[in-house]
Amino acid sequence: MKDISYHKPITLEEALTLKRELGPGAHYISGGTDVMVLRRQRKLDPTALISLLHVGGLAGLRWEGEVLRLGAATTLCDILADRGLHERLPALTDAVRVMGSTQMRNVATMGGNVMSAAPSGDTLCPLLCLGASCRLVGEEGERLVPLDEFFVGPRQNAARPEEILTELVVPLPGPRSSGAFIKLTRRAALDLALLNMAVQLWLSPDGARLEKARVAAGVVAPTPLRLCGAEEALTGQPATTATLERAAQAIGGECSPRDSHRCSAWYREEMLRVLLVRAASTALARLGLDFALSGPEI
Amino acid sequence: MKRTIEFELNGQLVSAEVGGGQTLLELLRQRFELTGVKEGCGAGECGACTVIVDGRALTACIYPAMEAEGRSVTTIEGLATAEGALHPLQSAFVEHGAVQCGFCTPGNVLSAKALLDQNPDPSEDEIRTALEGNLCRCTGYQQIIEAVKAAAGRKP
Amino acid sequence: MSELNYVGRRLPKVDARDKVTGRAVYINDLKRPGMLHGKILYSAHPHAIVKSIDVSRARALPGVRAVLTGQDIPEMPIGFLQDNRPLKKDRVRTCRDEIAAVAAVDQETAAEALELIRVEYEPLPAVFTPEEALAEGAPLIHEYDAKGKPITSNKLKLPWKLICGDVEEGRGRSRHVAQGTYRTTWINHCCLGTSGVIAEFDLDRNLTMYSITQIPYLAQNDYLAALKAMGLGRSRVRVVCQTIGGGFGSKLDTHCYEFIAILLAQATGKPVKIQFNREEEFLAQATRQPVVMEVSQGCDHNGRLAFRDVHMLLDNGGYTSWGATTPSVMMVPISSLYRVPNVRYVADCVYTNNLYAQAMRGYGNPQATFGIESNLDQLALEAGIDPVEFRLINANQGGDVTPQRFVVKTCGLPECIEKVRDGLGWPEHRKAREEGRNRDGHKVRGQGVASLIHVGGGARVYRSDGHGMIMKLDDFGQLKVFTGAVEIGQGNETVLRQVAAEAVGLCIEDVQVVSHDTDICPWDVGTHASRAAFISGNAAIQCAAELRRKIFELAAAQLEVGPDDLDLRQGMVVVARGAEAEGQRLAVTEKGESIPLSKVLRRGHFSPQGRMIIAETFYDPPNEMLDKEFKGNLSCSWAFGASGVEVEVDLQTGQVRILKYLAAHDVGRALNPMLLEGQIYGGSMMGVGMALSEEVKLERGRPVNGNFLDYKLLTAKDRVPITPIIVETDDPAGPYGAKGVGEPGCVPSAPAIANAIFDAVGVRISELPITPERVLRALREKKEDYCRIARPAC
Repeated sequence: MKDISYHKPITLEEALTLKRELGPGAHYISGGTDVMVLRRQRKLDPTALISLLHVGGLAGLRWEGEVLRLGAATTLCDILADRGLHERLPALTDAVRVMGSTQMRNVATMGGNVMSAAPSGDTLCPLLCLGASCRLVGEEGERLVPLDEFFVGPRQNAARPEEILTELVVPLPGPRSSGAFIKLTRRAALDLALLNMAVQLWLSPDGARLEKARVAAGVVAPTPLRLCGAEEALTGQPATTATLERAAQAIGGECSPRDSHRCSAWYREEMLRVLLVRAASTALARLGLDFALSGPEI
Repeated sequence: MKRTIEFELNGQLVSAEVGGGQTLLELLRQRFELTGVKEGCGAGECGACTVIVDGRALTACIYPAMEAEGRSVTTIEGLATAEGALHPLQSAFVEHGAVQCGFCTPGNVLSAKALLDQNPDPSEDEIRTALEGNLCRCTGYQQIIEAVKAAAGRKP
Repeated sequence: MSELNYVGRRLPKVDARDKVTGRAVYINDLKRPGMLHGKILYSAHPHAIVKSIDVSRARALPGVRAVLTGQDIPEMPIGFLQDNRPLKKDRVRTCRDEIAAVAAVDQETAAEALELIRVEYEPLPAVFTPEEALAEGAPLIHEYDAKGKPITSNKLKLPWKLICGDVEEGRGRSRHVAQGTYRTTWINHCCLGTSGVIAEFDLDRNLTMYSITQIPYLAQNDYLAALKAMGLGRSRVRVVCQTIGGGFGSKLDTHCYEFIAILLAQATGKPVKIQFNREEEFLAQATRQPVVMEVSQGCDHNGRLAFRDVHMLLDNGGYTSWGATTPSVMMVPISSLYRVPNVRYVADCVYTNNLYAQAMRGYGNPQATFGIESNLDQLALEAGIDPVEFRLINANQGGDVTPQRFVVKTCGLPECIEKVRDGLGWPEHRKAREEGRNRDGHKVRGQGVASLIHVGGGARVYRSDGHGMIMKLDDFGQLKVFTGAVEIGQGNETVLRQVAAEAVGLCIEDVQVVSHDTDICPWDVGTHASRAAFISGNAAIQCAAELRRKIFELAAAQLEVGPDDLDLRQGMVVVARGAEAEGQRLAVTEKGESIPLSKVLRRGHFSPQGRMIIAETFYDPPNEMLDKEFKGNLSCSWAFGASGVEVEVDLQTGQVRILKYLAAHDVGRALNPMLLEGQIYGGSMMGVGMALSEEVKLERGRPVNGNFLDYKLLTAKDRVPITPIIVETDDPAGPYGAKGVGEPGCVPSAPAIANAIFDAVGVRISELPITPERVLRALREKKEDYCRIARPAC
């Protein structure tokens, strides 16, 4: 393999300048768990790599009032190390806990997972449910893109080539809300999702009804997807098993799971409904309701 | 494009000329002849190349060598003393039958070390999580888990 | 037997220290001065005519030292039926076919050169299942056999047919009959250390192979044949094995890449290394044979088996390895697992355009046992007999001679089944199941059992099952044991050291095993068939007797006692029998007096016309090659075992979780319980993988999941709670009573799991691996059947 250059800018300006100077062959890299594998598979042939790990201010969590600002260079193991995060955003930590392996989580970053935009990216569904946005910095300045608009195809996102994801802005769902994430895999670790799903539910003040619901699933379409039919079927309804089951049946045409060597479409289709009920039950159990908890991976 | 970097390797400051596309695995095996770092898959999927960088276990086969700059890297060769005294984890692996063909062993030992350095008294579940990225075809993992449990009780 | 010092102890592996410190040198780590790197171009099609190959640009690339194609090499047939050649010439038959090979100064240059080779193919129709390959009008994969005779069918001319008794008679008198079709798939050995070799010629054109073979001496033979074809008929071959990063049968054949390394080394005059990466390992390394088997079995009203009838189709892939002889071992459980008087087994190996298949742990036994033991549970259900009880009724017993003429001297099968039953809490579970207490929401628990028989005292699949050994003592009482056996991680060298120290009477610290070099060590047929500890152990006992005879002869003269009066204990020559018994005392040495062996040896050495003590032996076990009817006592000891599993099936997802896994093995005697348990843990886990998760998925003959992300080896996180149970039967043929234990662990796993799933949810999964999808589909179909038959309105 031909040798390439490797750059370690320490400011965003420097990184953008490098990208401009090195041209379209230059590729950003952070933890490298995706880029380095794609390179080995010859699916990516960069002429230069620009590491974002040394750019100041990109790592770490900042709680600011009603939002969490999650630095793009925050590693997955840092996510798990933060206990407050699990209490407040359990869907996200459920997802991170079952990603890859310990070694992978030690280097892979939140920003990397989002930018890779893989249909199976595990953090994407919880972030979609939480209504997160991406802060992108590019030649033309800074912009905030809602995640709902960010994924445009398999491994394709709405960022311009030079833009750098600096942080994820996650609105905090508040005390009457909880979430859960479930990943369907063939083994307990080192695995890609055959299907993944996140749910975030908000209870009414009296705790009887679901005031608001967000549901997202991965590997059922070219991008991770919000399941609007299910969300509608949950919203305003009593927090009962019957509601969850009706919501599962309301998962509709937005999903187009495919047959692949990893899994059949019919199985994915059926599991969507199972996962929805289980993830929603877990979220409600976390809100203190009498529902069964399911493990983060099943 | 090559550039010279410095880093700490098994407790000693070293410098090496490194290519931008080079992996840490290539650097350690080729330049430093640390062949205890094994390549099992080249894609971060088996853990045979696990090393510890700044206290964290990672797979050297997908870690850019350039990122080692200024950091502290520990390979399996850095565990036993020069006189041959084994690290408690290494002894435990020997004594508990945790080694068969041995190809995954350095990676498993280092994953376990990174765990015990942070968490001296882990539960079985924490041990299994720490080793989940280290595939082993020979042992079925049980004796490896027992070795780590045993080593957790010993002082290094 | 007197008290033992080393046999039976949990001693650590002798190579473990080197392995935990990273010092052990695998082929992946080895370099030779001036070494070049070879790389192979594989076919782009599963079946095609090779119209032309243009290597000119590759040859011109700086750093490239040689480029070879099938046109450049002599006729050099390889493989069990000699139907393969290192580089294919006019035609490719699989996606793993070697088209061209490059030797270059480094891996990167070699890889770049491969990309510059242009091959023009004319694709041919291809077949990817044995059924397709046998259909009328199917393309012929090989048109001529090794002797040049035309071939008319894709069915191999390997007449695997075993008839014992009269199956039709047995069927006729059966009160209950069960039948079914069972399928297993392609499984990769997944040795963590990928394959590799270095071929190096000296100036006299003698060849050294730095190798990882499990069969150094048979490989030597194959390499010699290759050299002869290359016009080097007078060259010698030395095979030096490196530390082996996993075997499991993958190294029981010589493979194309090894011969390509030899050809490149000859072409360049330099040592050439070929080292697979993981992708190449999945593409080019042959797998376990997939089989489709139809099984029927019947029993009388007492539940006694009356017959067993098995027809099997094996997917041979494009070429024939020793793996095509696995039906000879599949016959073992088919004829002899449980007492069954009438047996018929017919197997056809069929060429397809898939990869090719070879030996893998159990040598076909896991596949055959999956069919038999799944079907046996169905029969127990038909007969209305508890599956464990049914197995106990039919279990083999010590003293049996089976229909295939296996002589079972010791048999721990009933005890294994009982221990597994008790460990599972079988009766309690039955009761809970009857009362519906095995269900918790959408999760249902079930238990299942399956047994095994396997060769435990070598296996005469080759004309010799022998093992040469040399024991050499030095002036300091240190013993070197030269063995032809290969250590593949299982611990043979450790166990051999224990047995040798025990049998000779030395401290274990004074015994070292020397192996892995055909120039130094005597012949052995190979590390396979669970035979290494059994055969090399017996060889050590035999050799030790000779060594002791020589020691006592030497010492007797020095001590002025009779040789028979002496013993050797922990390195001390001891006067064991006083001369007073003889009435008159001539001896100068008192009973109980002792002298260090080293002293005896030095005195013997440094005296006029001195001598040193060396003993040698060749142990060939008293087993028989199968005769023309495939009958005979293939192994001189038979290993038995049973696995019991408790699973939890998720009715909504079809997922199966293993809650208990008991593995009881009749091991004769545990020479080293810790290493033995390692074999049981590892074997069982391999069996669980075969049952639940492992499969090389082929699309038009090409692996689509050839990496460790998509090929699902189980991880430490997939908690499989294996409990080994050691049953000792003290086999008279075994070293200190031991039987072979390397393979059996993986044999009964899949049927035990399938039976447990049936017990839980009433669906019979007869195709491996048992994926959640398959379970869920079966649950749906069962529900539909239920609705159709019982409740037409639902």
